[in-house]
Amino acid sequence: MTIHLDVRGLPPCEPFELSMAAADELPAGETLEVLIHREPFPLYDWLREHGFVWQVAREDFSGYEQFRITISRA
Amino acid sequence: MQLVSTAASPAPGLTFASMLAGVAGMCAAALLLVWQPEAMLTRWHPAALAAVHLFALGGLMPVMLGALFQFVPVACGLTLPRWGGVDWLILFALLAGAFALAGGFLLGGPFWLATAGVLLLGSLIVAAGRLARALWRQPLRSEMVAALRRSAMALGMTLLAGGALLGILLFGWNLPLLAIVDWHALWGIAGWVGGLVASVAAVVVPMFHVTAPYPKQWRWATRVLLGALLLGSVAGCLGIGWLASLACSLLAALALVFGLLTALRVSASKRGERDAFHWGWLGLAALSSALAVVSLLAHFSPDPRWSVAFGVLALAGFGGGTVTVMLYRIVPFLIWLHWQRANKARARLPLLHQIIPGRWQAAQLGTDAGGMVLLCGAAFWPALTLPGALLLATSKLGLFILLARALHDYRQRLALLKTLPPRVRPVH
Repeated sequence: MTIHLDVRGLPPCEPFELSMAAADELPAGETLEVLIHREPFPLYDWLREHGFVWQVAREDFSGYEQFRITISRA
Repeated sequence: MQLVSTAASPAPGLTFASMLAGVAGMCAAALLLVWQPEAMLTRWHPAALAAVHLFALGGLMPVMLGALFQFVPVACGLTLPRWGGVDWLILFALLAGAFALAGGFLLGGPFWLATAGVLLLGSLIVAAGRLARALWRQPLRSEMVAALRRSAMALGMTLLAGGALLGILLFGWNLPLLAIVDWHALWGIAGWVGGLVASVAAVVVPMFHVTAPYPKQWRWATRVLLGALLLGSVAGCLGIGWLASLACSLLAALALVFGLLTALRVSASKRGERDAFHWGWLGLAALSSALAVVSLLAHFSPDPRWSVAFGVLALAGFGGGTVTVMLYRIVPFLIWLHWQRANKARARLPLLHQIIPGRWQAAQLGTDAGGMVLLCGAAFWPALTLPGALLLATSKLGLFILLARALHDYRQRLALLKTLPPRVRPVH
């Protein structure tokens, strides 16, 4: 099962906090998909340090970039 | 998977120390004007040259380099290698060099200038070289990296011109002094400071103001900036007046467009709060547009006082103001980030705007703006120098205290977070 989280357009540090809280609650074997309007480099540090793996897909949204981060437990 | 990390970059302690040292350097430059207010009579006054270089090299430069160490990994994924003690040595050499250069202008004689040359060129060539190496090894995935590369080139040109000026002063090299002074100042202010602000603003303004991104065409701005600076340098060295005027007009147009684009975005902010960060960015947008006009007056008017006014607006206003406003967000953001990474217990953390209280930010910003306006006026009415310099020194001292208090809280809470047991994950 995939849990979807859309944090586009939120001010710092809300995207980070929401993504972190959702990842914390993520059951083993499930994935979290975060949609965000900028690449969340600091989140990668946190994910790595807390035992998650992730993949990044760069997408076009009305001429601007957005990012789809797929997170699961390592 | 790309490994980008603030953990692999120079330690946050170094970044925060660089920022504090830079704010202290700007305060020292303002105090120099309090001591020698006659500095504002002409841009060639020894105390004016000392204050300008103290502000730029002992003030703006440490803050900008410190911010690059930690904020750029966050904003664009660039990681600078950690060098431990060498990083501290670079910071020390930069600060000592800035004070030695100020001493060289004030006291005259080759000793202080030669000492400054060794310390500044040594530290900045190493710092710029490391930045350039990291930037050119990075895959060119974002416009931010490309813009930072152009800013690094501008820093290189500024250092080249600075080295040539030291050669003229110390060894009597036969080079066109006035053209190289203008080249040095333009590459430093417009290329390095302006280019860096323009590229960082494209990330910071939409991110923190929750507003529309800059238009895609804006990515051409730093390319045009570099082209205009090259044109201006060639024109200055060869004495081609019309080409220099064209380059100046291009730079003024860029400053005006940046001001308008930024003002439109900040005005349409969805954040809702009308705090010092909001007014600070609106002020910077207005200042950028004013700089466009004053730069043209400084270039085309025979009155040399416009050059002094331009220098104050560009350096203390645009450079110093941007640093102040950026620090309101960059420092709390970095503090919050490092707390969060140590927060295995998932304890509740202060919000960003609570880390440096908003009302003190507003008071500091108001004092800073007042000092800058008075100092700009001092180009025409010298009696304003003393109150302007005092206000500016007070505002920088206030900023130093605000940052020092935030960093004290950071260390205390970080130590506490590290003692808390990790939160136990609920069983599903």
